[in-house]
Amino acid sequence: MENHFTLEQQKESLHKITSDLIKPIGINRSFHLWMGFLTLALLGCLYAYYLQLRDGLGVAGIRDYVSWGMYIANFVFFVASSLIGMLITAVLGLSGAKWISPIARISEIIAIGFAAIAGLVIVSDMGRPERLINVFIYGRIQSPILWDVTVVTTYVLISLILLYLPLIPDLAMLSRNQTLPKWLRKAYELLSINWKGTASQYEILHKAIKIMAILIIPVALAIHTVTSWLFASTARVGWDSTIFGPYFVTGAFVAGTGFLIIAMYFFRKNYKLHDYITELHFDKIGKILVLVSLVYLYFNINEFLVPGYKMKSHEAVHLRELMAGNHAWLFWGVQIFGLILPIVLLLFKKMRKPLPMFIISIFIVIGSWFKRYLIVVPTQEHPFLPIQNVPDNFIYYQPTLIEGLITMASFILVLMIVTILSKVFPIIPIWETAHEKGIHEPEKLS
Amino acid sequence: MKKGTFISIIALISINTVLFGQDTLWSVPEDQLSKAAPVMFTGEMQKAGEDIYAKNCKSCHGDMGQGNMAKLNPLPKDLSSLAVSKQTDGALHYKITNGRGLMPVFKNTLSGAQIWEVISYIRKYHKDYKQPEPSMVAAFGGKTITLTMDYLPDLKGFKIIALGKEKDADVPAEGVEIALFVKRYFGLLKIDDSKVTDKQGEVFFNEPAKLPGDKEGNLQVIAKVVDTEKYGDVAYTKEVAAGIPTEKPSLTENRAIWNVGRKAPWWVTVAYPLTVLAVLGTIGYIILLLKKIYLSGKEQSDNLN
Ligand code: HEC
Repeated sequence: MENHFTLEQQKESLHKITSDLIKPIGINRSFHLWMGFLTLALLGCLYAYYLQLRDGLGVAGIRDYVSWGMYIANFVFFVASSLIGMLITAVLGLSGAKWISPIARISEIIAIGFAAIAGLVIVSDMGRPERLINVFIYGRIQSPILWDVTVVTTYVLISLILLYLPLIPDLAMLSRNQTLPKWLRKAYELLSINWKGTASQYEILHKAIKIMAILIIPVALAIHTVTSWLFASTARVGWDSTIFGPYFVTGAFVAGTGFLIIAMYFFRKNYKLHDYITELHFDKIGKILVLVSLVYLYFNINEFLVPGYKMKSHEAVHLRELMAGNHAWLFWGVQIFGLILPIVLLLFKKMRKPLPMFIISIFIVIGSWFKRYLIVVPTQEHPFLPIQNVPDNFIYYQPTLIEGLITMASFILVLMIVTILSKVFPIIPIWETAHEKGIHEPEKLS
Repeated sequence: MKKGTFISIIALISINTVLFGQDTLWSVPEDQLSKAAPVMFTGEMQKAGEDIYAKNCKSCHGDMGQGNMAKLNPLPKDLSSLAVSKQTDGALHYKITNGRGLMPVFKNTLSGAQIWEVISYIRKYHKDYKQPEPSMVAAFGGKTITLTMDYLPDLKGFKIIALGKEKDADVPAEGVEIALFVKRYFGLLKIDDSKVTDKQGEVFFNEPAKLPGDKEGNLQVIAKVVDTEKYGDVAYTKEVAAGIPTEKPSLTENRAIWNVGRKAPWWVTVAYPLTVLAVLGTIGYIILLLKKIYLSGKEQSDNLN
């Protein structure tokens, strides 16, 4: 953008941007109320976890045959949702899409929340969590599980860095803002590592961001591809597929974009950011959602049509169960309400407005969760050897209340992380917004 | 609720108890009732039976005479009680073998001889019990027979001799059905049909053609008496060089994706740490860049001062 504003105009506009974007920061009453509510709910769920620790995994519905239940489905869902950070900051960012700057940080925060808690979700599936360390002591270097642990941890680390780097100029600015409490300003100053906004500092920062944005692409692809290999590297019907990697990755983009839209809608409304997260952003992200959903639909068709065409005997049992048997309602519900209808609706411009997209995204997200459930659970109900002489609850998986509460706890934790991060940091980058509005050296003006 | 409905529900419930409750008679077929153990119970059998009881029965029937059985319906009886002691060996054998309702079928879990062992243990607790004449008495004084096997490479086969004891002298056991097996990875491979010993107590089996053996061509050949009910578990195992020498490295000998971590394929062993290092290295470089930002900012403020 050309610099055709006078200094006065620039100053005024910068003042508005800063005060708009800083206003939501800080610990206020509604923050306390909301966090208090989350904490209470979390305590309830933690009691359920205590019961599981005391009595063992038998309190969950998982048994000998279906030994991966809601926890693992939820884990896959969390890893999937965290991929949105990479899609927005890296893929779109590197391709030069300028419009993403107000939503990049939101997507990064969502990514951190889900990726950080994904590890905990796995731990909740362990009857003896204190033995987690054995994964590292006795882990086999050729096991996808070890790769998964490595890559999830790395992804959290890189996402944290990618959140932090673009924050540095904002932190410097915030540390000078008199409206904020002193301790917070002190913390900002520490974190802003002497940021002065000089040309050379900007140059280094841009370089660092670029390197990280490139690095996160293979890591993010790896995180979800490896997660898919946890399934695809076994010979089980429904998992034994060569396209599981890309199938999972595109599914992840759908789920993550859904969450991003929900978060955009929420922050725009509650943080009064209508001037920054505009209808244009919703329109664009809506189109992206259509694109990734179409790709995912394509993978879905491929994933079911090819084995369905051949109907190998074991495969046939599984497919019939999904499409016309026990899981049919869920299966078609997920495909229609979680994928096909959203695609069709979002093709209309009228639907690519904040409220309709918010509602559609809720469907997408719920559909995505159950989609993971359908990937994980039904396969295990059809082992290759016949099921004999076992109690009924071994044959069909029935999640328990305790399991549900523990799963809920993971969502509460994500909400807490997102809440805290969005309360102590500006949810929209101030300096980038300023730059885009034609204010070239915000540091000098403020 | 209407009175009629109430009564019919009560009626239904009582019919149910009559039909499926614990008081129904557990009838044992006539020919099974009089069945006797093949041999006289020995202290050894009772010891073995005690282990079997602890492993397979105690969880439901509890300790003998303690009445601490599992609360099932029908209640599993204390096996030392009169109700059990007055039954014949044949009846107990039939019930343990075939099970009913919550009482498991042990036909496939325990061998015939093992079931007799656990009965011998249960009988220890029955004061007035006197063991009836064993079914093998008729054959060889109630003692088991023994098998031996010779490999005859010239005749390409195995000669198996069954001997029984009669008045402390070994005599050929005629008319004993013998089966021959070769041990494989999973279980036993049966060789030919089973055969009956002749007057000399001998049977001859042709050696199996082209069976892969170990490195030296050795096979584990096992001769077994078929009628374990009558003679107990009698077997004879011999290693003979009757197979084709095969040297197949075990599946876990070489480096492979399914092997232990120590024997991971080279490419994983190299690629995994290298990739991790590359990523960590890049992150390290970013930290260096951050330090550069820090230093240049410091320089700037030093210049201003
Ligand atoms: C899963 C629990 C369970 C186990 C294990 C079990 N039993 Fe039983 N047993 C029962 C029940 C219940 C009954 C009563 C069945 C009925 O009357 O329908 C029973 C009945 C019996 C009877 C018949 C008693 C009678 O009323 O005449 C005998 C004998 C017996 N069991 C022996 C054994 C032996 C020996 C073992 C171990 C090898 C064993 N049981 C293991 C539950 C068990």
